[in-house]
Amino acid sequence: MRESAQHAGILPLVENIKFCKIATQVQDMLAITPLIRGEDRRNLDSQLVAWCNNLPWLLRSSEPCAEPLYIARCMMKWRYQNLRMLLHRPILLSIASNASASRSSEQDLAAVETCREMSKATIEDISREWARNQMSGWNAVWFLYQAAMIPLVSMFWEWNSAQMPEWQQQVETVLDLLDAMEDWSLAARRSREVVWRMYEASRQIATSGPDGTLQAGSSQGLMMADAQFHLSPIGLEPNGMMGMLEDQGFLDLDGTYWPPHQGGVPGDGSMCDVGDGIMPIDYTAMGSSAPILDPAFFCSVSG
Amino acid sequence: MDALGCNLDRQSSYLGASSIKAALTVMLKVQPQLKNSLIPPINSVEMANNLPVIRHRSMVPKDTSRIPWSWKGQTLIDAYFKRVHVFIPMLDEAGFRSDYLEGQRCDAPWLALLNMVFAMGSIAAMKSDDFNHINYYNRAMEHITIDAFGSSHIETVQALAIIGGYYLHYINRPNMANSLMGAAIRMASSLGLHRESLAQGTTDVAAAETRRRTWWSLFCLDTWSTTTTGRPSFGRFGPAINITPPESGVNQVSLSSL
Repeated sequence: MRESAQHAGILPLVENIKFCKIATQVQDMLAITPLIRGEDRRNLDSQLVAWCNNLPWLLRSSEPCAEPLYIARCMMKWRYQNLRMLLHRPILLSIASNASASRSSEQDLAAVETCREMSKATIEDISREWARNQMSGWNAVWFLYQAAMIPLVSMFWEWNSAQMPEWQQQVETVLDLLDAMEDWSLAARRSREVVWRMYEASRQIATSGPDGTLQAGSSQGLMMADAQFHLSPIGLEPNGMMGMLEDQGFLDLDGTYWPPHQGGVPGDGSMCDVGDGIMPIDYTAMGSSAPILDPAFFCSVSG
Repeated sequence: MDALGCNLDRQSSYLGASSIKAALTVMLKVQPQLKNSLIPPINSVEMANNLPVIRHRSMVPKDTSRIPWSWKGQTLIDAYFKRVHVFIPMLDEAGFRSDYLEGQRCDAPWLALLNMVFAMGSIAAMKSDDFNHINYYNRAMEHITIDAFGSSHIETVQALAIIGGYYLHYINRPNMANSLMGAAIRMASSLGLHRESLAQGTTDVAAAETRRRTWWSLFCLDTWSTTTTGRPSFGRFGPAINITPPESGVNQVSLSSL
């Protein structure tokens, strides 16, 4: 079976199906609430880990192999790490956004650690494994972009941590990679710009301290053209080129309608619901008596 | 403040905690003075002016002539089977290649599928500044009308899987992608691709395996693109989905496309 030797048959599909069954459970939990209960999160995470540990040798090996198998197993691993990272990211975000959360539980801290491990591993793996074609680059850019958020958030939150150099190194690696991937991903350049601007902003914080004011007229700062990224960080700009927008406007989280043809309108922007204000947070489910998460967290930043 | 709100990821509205926007929000919360340095979104991309445009279907006459073999097409098909097929091995490779070689088919499901294979092959083979994939997409879409959703051709389902599962995400139309994937899954279910009994009820082993792989490819594509949207999975997996996964390894029936 000639193709079988090249593709490892449909082994990647078989294992992807198993992974996707777990991911479907994750999806349905996230659909209930973005902050999954600790117990459920640990359950899902351990299913993911077990899946990875049970992969057939052919999909875990890094022995040289034919290209289809190579990209299949790289993608599986990147996706796996990304999902574990995403499962734990809400904890990091909630602790980081609440400066007085001095009593983060051990489990929360372990979750943050897992999140950081996964993003670090993603960056390291992708830097070695990405290939110069768009199937690889497209996904690589997306996963790198997601992974970069972890050291970035960490740098904003714990800006005088001993791990700063480590986080900075990770972000710089991402920047280098996104630069190298420009030919192989539509989104590489803009992803890089977003990451770069956040990185520059974080460095200003580091040097000027938390109360330092940024230079007026500084060209650095957060770039808000992140709208187009969601699942498909594509760089095909709508304005004038693709004509794909017709007359779609979009709504932001407050339900404010933004008419079409504003600058930076994404491909099809109407992905949110009008009534989507505050996400209900079940504090009792989180196992702590006091809220660690401000309900306004999930809304757009208020003025 | 709305400068922050207005251009951020709509889709993350259901998934604040796992979205990029949430990460940005945290950074701003921790360091509020960063708001001062917000800049308006950059909306320019350096693109050539003579790019192909996504056409509205009504503007284009349907071209149902057969597609003769060409080296170009062959290259694109090879690129598809090298870099795309491994993720969604739903095509019967030998059958597909042979149909292309003969160049005789002119049915709409085939024309749609072939053009989407060309589109993905083009993406897989070329650099990001090559936009020929748009032409193939346009041609594929000429053959997918609303009526097609009521048809019973597995190749239409496969074409939709590629369009909704990959291509529309690639060109940044995630809403349309999501809708088409939903439709494709429903079409697949009306063809009974999700039921084991229907797969086994045929003596055409290759066709049965194609059905199985098509279903599971749809399942994976839908999962990959919706896991973090914060929306329910809408039943793509459950007790009633009893078609077994494809088998890999020695127990597998010998199919030329393996």
